[in-house]
Amino acid sequence: MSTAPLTVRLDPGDPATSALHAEILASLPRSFRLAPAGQPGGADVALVSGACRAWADTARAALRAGARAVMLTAVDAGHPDTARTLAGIPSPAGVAVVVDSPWAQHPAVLDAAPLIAADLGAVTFITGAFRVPAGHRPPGRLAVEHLALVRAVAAPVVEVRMIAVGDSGYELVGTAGQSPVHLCATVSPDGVERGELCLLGADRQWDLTFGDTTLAGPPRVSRAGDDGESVRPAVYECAHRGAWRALHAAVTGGAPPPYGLDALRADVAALTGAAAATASAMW
Amino acid sequence: MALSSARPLGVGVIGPGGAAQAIHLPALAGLAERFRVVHVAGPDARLAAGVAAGVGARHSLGEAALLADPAVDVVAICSPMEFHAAQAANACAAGKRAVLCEKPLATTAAEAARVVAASAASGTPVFAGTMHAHDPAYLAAQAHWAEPTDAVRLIRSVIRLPHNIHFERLATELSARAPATPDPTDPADPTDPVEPAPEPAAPPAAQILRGWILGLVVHVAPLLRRFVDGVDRVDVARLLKPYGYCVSFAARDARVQLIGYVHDSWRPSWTFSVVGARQELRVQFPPAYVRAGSAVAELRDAGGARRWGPFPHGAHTAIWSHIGDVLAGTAQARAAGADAAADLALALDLADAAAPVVRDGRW
Repeated sequence: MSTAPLTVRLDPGDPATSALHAEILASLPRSFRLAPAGQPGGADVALVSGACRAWADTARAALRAGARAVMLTAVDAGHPDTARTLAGIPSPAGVAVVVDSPWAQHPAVLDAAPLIAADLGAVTFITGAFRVPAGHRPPGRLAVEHLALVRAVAAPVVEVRMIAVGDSGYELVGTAGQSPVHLCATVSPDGVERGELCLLGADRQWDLTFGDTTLAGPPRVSRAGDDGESVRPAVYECAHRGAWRALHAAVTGGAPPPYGLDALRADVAALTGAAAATASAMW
Repeated sequence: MALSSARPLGVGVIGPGGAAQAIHLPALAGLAERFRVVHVAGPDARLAAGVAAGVGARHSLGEAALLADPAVDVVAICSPMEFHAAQAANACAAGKRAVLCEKPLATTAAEAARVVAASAASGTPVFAGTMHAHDPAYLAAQAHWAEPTDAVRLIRSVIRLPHNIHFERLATELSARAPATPDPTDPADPTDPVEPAPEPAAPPAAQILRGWILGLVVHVAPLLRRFVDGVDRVDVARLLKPYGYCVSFAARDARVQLIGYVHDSWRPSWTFSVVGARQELRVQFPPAYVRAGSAVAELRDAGGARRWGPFPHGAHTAIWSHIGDVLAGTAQARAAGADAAADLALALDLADAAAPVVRDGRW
């Protein structure tokens, strides 16, 4: 790689998320280096956490200061201002806004996506169930992340109806392409994160099984069909690292990110639309 | 537990179709010291004769001769579901020692009440064929569930199965007719090769869903009742293509998600999960019909995971062993009589509550 590493400014408002990303960035030393602490502005890339109150201001400030890209993470669709806030984030030409998503940006998912797409005509039902440690991520954030995953492997989820949402998790139904979609996430009683997404067809089925999204443990991606089961190669990389690689490719080569600002806006809109918002019960 | 030196109990089978041939006869053959099939009866004399010959039993047309046969101690009812309740009640009235009635026990609450009354009057325990309630791995794991009912947050049952005929052919050599293609008008058992009642037009969605609930969801009804009290509100009810359903309902603070998907491929997956505040139970059952042993059950908490199974004896062997134990006086009846009726009541309540939702067509 001939280009100099891109400098990254972490988000001081979210130390936990920043610590996670600092560790991941350390595994990409030729692509990124952290901007010196205490020197605001001037970094090539800004990490912006949606968990912070004024995260849109942080993003706008980074862009005004000349950032070439923003890594947006931890966006919570359950917050009433999220859709409006997202609409207010500029996306100037030549600036990449990549959305960090712990499943959708996983290279194993992206590698399999074209193969899954070839089977989508046969898929008649998509269902996913996830467990997340208590207090780890709010249900509105999980729902966005799961919609991003379905978008990555199938199609954007529309006509979302939130069945239940609360401290226990969320449950929703929607439609992706021609397929009904049913998704849920609950608090993990044992504190271990895991999940699965299944795309079911009469004669072929895809199963994606995930572990802790902060670790590089590989998801298992398999397809069962008439000729047996095929398992995609294991990729020992977490989706966050995949997102940073995508961001680098976007900045240095102009490659569109797998999950960007427009897609995030659409998924948040799906989750905050009238049908999604009014039908929900507390859980 | 063995039946000491007593003679094997005589079993009479009513309805020698796929379930009898592929499930119960092999299970009983594995318990030859405790049970012996002595009589096979059904509406198709040729089929009854063929199945009876295979096990060295008598055969008869209809059920009257079987119920009058003094060699029949235990009646196994494997007929189509609309006949279950009457046959079970008749078996009780005939003074049989026990009845194993394939699920569902009945198709209405009133029918189930009549079975319970007949059972009480004669002292004949009536067991429903909800075999998973007897699976040794499930039983062992659920015994370690330490949380109160109101701590349950999620129950999720996902049944993904190839058509039944796929496994029936691996479990036995079926006698008589066996249609090569599934019957979409019989959603409870779309590939039952023996007793289909095809209709010229597809029935309404609510009726199809009711068939799924009484034919497939009813398997997990005893498991559901272990963890939730009933159905508060059905929020999701949809039929899936090519064959299946997705139903979600609220039960107090818990969400209950029931997914069934019958497909043309080969891979089965039958899971039942319960998520509480501190524990999670996950059970993976083998497909029905084949003698693949018990489920594998795992109970997780903050301290790690404990696992039970697979045990060599599966749920159907377990249910017959349990009947033998009850008749030997060494066990209390489980998932029988009023309990079985209560399991059915939950399924019927669910079908009733889901009907307007699936009819509405909303997703």
